[in-house]
Amino acid sequence: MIKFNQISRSFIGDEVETVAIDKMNLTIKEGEFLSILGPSGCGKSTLLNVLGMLDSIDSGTFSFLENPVDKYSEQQRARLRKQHIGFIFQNFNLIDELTVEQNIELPLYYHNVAKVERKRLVDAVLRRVDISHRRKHLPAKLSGGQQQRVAIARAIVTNPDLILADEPTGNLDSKNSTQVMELLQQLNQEGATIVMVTHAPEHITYGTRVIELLDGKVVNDQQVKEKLNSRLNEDVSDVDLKEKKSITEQAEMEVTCG
Amino acid sequence: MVKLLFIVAWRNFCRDKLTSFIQLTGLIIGITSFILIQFYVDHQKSYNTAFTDAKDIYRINLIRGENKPQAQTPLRLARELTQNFTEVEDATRISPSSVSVKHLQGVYSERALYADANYLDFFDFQLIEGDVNTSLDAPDSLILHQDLAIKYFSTTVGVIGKRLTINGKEHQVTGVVKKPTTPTTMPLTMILPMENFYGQISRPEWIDAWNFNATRTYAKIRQPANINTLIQTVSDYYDSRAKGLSSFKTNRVIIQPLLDIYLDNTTTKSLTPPSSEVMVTVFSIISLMILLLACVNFTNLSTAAAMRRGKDVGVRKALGASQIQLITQYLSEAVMLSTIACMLALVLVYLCLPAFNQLMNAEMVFNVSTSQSLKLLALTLLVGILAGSYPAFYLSNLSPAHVLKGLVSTSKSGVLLRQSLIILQFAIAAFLLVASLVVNWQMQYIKNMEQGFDREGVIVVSRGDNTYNGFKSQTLRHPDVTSVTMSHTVPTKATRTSNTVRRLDDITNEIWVGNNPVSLDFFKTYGIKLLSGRVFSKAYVNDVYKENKDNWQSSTGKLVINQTLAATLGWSPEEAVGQLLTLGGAQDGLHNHQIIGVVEDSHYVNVKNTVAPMTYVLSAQPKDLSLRWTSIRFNAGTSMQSLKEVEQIWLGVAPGLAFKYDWVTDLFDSSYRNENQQTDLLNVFTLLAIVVTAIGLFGLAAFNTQRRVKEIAVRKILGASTGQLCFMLVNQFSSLVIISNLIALPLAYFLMIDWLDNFIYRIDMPYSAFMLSAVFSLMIAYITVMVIAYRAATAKPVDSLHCE
Repeated sequence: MIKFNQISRSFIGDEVETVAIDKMNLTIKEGEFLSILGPSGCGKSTLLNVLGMLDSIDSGTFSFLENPVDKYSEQQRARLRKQHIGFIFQNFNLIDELTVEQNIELPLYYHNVAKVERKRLVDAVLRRVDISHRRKHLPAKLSGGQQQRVAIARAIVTNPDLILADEPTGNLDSKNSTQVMELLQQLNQEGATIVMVTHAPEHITYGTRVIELLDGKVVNDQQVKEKLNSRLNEDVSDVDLKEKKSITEQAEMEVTCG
Repeated sequence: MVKLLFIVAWRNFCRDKLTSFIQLTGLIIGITSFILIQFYVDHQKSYNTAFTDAKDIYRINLIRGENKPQAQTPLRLARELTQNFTEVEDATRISPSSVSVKHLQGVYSERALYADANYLDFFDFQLIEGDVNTSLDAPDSLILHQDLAIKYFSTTVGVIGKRLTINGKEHQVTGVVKKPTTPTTMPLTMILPMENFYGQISRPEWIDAWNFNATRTYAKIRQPANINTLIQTVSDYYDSRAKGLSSFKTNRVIIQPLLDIYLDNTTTKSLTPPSSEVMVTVFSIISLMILLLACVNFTNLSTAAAMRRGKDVGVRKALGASQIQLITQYLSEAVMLSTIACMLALVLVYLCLPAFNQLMNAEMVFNVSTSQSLKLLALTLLVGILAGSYPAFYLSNLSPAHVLKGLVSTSKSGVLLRQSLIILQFAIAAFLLVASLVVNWQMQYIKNMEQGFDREGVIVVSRGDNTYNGFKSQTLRHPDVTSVTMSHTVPTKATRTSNTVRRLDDITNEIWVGNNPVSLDFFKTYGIKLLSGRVFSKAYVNDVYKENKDNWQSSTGKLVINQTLAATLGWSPEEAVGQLLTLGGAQDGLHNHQIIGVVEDSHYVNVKNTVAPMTYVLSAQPKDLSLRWTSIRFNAGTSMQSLKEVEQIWLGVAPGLAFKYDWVTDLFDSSYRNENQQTDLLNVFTLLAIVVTAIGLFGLAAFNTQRRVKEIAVRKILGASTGQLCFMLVNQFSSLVIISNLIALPLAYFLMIDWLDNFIYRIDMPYSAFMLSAVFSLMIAYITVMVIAYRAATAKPVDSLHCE
């Protein structure tokens, strides 16, 4: 679906040039739920912005659904983004003056969808994220978790091929975080490709693949199960066999329960 | 503490430079306009105030029949007042006249005043040289204004005793008047003793005639409480003596305070063209409106910017600041800004004053006296407090708990206030726009409407009756001269004589008419169209008008009348030709004259007056019927050289008579001088109002857009196009502009209807002006906001969204 080949992106400040992405190669397949981990300043958000065509690259090639995005103009990228990508932000970015259903309806309006069809689609996603009972409320009247569910609904109402989530649980408590992650996992299981930036390692278990970034480069790229197993192996390496069994059992339980 | 106040104020000022700049600019424009208009108002109201006895001096005006009051009075009136009315302490007379001044090798035309010896007792100008008590005593006295002293003698001192030949008589300089610092309605020119004026009157019996109005009479009356009674008694006295001497049925007087005459634009024949009290008031109001607009800008932007100062308030309150202290803080900032604006406004006033003087045709001086400084200080404080009150009270009322949590959001009342202020601003701008359009169109209409004569290419020269025949025959030989004529009056000047006419079959029905004695070729020279019959011709000796005072019935002469008179008499132009009219009455016997032609109506003076019914009679020689003005029509594109050649012909036939000429087009334009000035000033103010409103809107739009930068980024990410975003941002102001037009336009309609009703010849209420105003205000709003909106809509969304 997405192919990065030797992409780089730098930012030039007053005295310093910061290399946010450094000759990165990355391929994302359809149906994947990719989590991006890394310390602050490693280029996670920049990578997400590039993926979402909100930012351009300095060099390399970027292909999205066979489209050579690196050769596209701003307008062409905007058109592609509109057609295929949905966004979920850490701080929700709902529009305060619009109600829940108006916020969700907004992308459909920009897609020139007819009014009747818009209502039908909005009703469907409201039920999907279980927020129908709050449809007439303004964002200020919702809890953090509810707001993020609205944001997710807004992101999926146009049925995008790719969902980009930038720290979707960053402003939520653990209970709401869990709810949101479960929702994203369900969307992925239903076929959505999701790329998520997160600071919370425990949330990678909802995904299928995880990459770690450091200084603009991919330093680790694993499927989630491999990742968990390797962590498990690190954990049990210094323990005797009897305890290893029980730890293995424990790890399996962890994987099962999430 | 005070120092801290100013430090914080200054830092806040610098923090948001755009908002501060807009607030400051708006205030500077508002205060500058206000100060300039106040200068103008003070200047207009200061006419004649410098004279010591100004409060006790009155001008006597006449009201004859249904005519407007006139300042021209009989020569004998001053004497009659002092001899017969004890309330009148003294009286003086002033008669303006064009004179020819011969000096060295040149002959110059000047406007002179013939005045009584006590002129300087009334109007105590300061003399550079000469004795105020005796400078007009001798018959050959001459008082010069300092500019004329420089013109003729290159100095203002040592001029006493020097000589000038005026109208063929030698005069010696007995005084030099210093240019006054305060304006006056007394022309600043040369002054000659009144007895020399008598020499200009062709018939000595007119000097004491009650119906020969040739002077302006001023009286000193120390007891103003008796004025109304005096008016009544003087009116009766005058009426009993003037009745029957003219066609006017009633003769009344008005005794008008000297200090009121300049702003009285209804009385005709003033020595200097008057201004208008109404217009002075209107412009005062407009300047207040512009100041209000600037204050509204300030308030609006301050209130909007209060959002980012919420935390400042919360912290201060948490640290113990009282509401009074906070109010003082924020008001101080407003007053500081208005002080800076006032100081810069003064600089701008100083720089703009020359241009403003030109616009208003005034000589205002930048002179900030103590009282004016105090007024300015009060203005600064008032503007600062007015503009800063709401933001100060709003901010000081914020709850510290909320603002420290970052919960200062746009309150409904705050939004409503800002929207209301925008509506007020656009309402004022829309109102001024409609007024400006209607006034401009009306002025265009009256300038371009058919005047009943062709004013292009015609000059009017004063006098020339003695040498007219020789002058005409020589001038007509010039290749650039089409036609020459002489007449008692010309279009752009008042009809000076009148008559009473009657139909032969309806003798009792008297019609008052204006009368213009003319020589041959008058209608040709002025391009006045003949509608029926013929005009005066050399071929018909009986055309010449001659009154036979011994036997009125055998008076001869034909009449040409205008279309209005024909209609008044109940005839079409064709029917009127050949009809007989009865002239005379009162002291004169009745005499009949035949109508030989009907010409189109011509506007004498200007179109603010209806066209009077007119008769034209033919004067065989200029002196016969006191023809006054020589008119010459040139071919199109005539050069100055041709004019100089005609002047040489004139001087050749009349060496002692100055060739003082005016283009009829210039006379025409000057008769609308006031209206042109007022229109120009209104246009300037309208433009200023639009500028102040637009920059206020710009600031508010910038602020609003800044607040919505994340929303704009989100919408863009969700798929909104640049156009959709721009439309969204611009449209938030559309409804406000429409509402403001809905408020302002009905008000404008009623005021403009009222204003248009002052004109006899007027346009229909132009509804397109209202449409244009609405469309233009929307355009201004759109363009102003679009600048901000486009920038916001095309910004990269990623730059607006931050990771937390």
